Amino acid sequence: MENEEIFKTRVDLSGLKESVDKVKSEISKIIVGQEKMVELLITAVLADGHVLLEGVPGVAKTLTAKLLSKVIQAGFSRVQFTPDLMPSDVLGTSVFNVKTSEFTFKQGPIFSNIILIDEINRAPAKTQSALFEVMEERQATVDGQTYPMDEPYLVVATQNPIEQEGTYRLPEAQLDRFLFKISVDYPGLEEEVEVLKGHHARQDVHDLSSVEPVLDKDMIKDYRTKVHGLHVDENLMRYIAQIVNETRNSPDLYLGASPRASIAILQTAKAFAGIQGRDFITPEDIKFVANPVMRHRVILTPEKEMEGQTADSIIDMIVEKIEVPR
Amino acid sequence: MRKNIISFLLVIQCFTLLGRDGITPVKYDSSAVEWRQFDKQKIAEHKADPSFNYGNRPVPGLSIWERFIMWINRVLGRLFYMGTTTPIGKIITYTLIAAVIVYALLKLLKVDVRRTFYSNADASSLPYEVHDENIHEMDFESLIKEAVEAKEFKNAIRLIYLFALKNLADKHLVEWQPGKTNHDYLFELKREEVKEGFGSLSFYFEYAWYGDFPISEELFADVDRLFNRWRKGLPG
Repeated sequence: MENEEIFKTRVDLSGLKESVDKVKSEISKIIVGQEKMVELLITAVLADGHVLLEGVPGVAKTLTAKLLSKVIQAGFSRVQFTPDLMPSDVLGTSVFNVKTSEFTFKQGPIFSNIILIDEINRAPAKTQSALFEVMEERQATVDGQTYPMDEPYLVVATQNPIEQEGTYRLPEAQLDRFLFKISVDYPGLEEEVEVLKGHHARQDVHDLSSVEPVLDKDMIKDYRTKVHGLHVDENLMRYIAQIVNETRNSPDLYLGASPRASIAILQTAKAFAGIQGRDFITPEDIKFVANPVMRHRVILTPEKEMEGQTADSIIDMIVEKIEVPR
Repeated sequence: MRKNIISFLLVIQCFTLLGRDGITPVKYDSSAVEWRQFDKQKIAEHKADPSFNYGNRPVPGLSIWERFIMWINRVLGRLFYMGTTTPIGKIITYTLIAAVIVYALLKLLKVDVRRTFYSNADASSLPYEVHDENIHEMDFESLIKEAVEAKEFKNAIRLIYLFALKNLADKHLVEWQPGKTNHDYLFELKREEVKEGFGSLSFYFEYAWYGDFPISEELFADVDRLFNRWRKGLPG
């Protein structure tokens, strides 16, 4: 008996699965490998959350973000963060109109659907703070006037690791607003060979016209509604809460994850289950998203940092410690 | 001019006054002078009195504690002398000083030396504090029977899955740990026929337990048959 015949899904996820496969296929025209990163990006889109891509220079962070904007048919804008960038350069500013003798608001690049913030940690905390309201509340208040953002609203930021020259650590409050922090690693040997082949074959390496849009605003809205309605067993909710709660009690962590992290794990686990064509979540889904959701939300104790431990290794230990509900 | 005249007159007046004091008559003292001498006997008595002997100060006796401290000082002094003058002594002294400094630093920074040098030192010694059920202590056959009799097929499938997991753990085909997911166990299995059957059981368990799908008596019977077949095929 086929599995689909035994258990008929209560939510129709066939369209979602098909779209996700198409998105993966379009992105793979340019990006070689990095399947997990692509899956996490799609998960974030479906879970309505912002993404922070971290990796050393040259691992296709910006290219990935640009490709994501290509496969989603929606507004796109890009801000290159620099040390002298001001909040008004991001949000916009009121300009005096000589003809009407009135001030009119000129929207900044933050007003769009998909915002690529390249090298976000090159700007100081003052400019970072301008993003707090817009990232959390999907609105910007300038000169006493509040401007709501269009749906879908997704900030995809890239950053170099903190140890790189000329970078600032992002404020905790801002880090918490990112649903995922995705670590972009170096490709494997075979993948790098494929990268070279692809680069050699293409006439214009900056030409992304071969990538076709797959998702539009309405599709994203529909899929988000479906994903939100997936079944979650109560024991798994407790499992999520136990994991996040353990980060607050762990002696290895100076700062644990916030309740926002619990919600993020729930949302993203549902989105990931939806991508798999399942209308309920499993502990596997929770484990898959636990690290990208929490790695930027926790702070290690100085002694653990000195021992060479990372947020990922501590989170792994915590997750392994909690009993999977069966 | 007037000022000069006044000044001149004032100076003259001062000299006049000084002249008047100078003429006071001096009184002569004509009383007899008494010649006094030291009493030689008294001087001899004082010299003989030890209270007036300041030459030799009295030395009070040392207490036991003071003698002990002096002994410690002497020993340390001798060791330090040996430690700073002989080559072996120098090596020992500097090694000890370095060890003390390193120990103090490690204690101060609360660094776990074992973990620093052996990255996987405690990887398998995680404290498992969350234990709701222990599959090794459960009587599955009677629990499954009870669940079926009560028509709780969802729970019966769960128990079948846990029983399958216990079988695998007992035969050392998987390492039972509460934090592992179903897929973690599936990846641990090497033999294809064992893996396939356990994969199917995991599938039914996930849909029944996490997915909350309704389980009919017929479906449970299928799963039960699958489990029994799979169990018989397990290596001895």
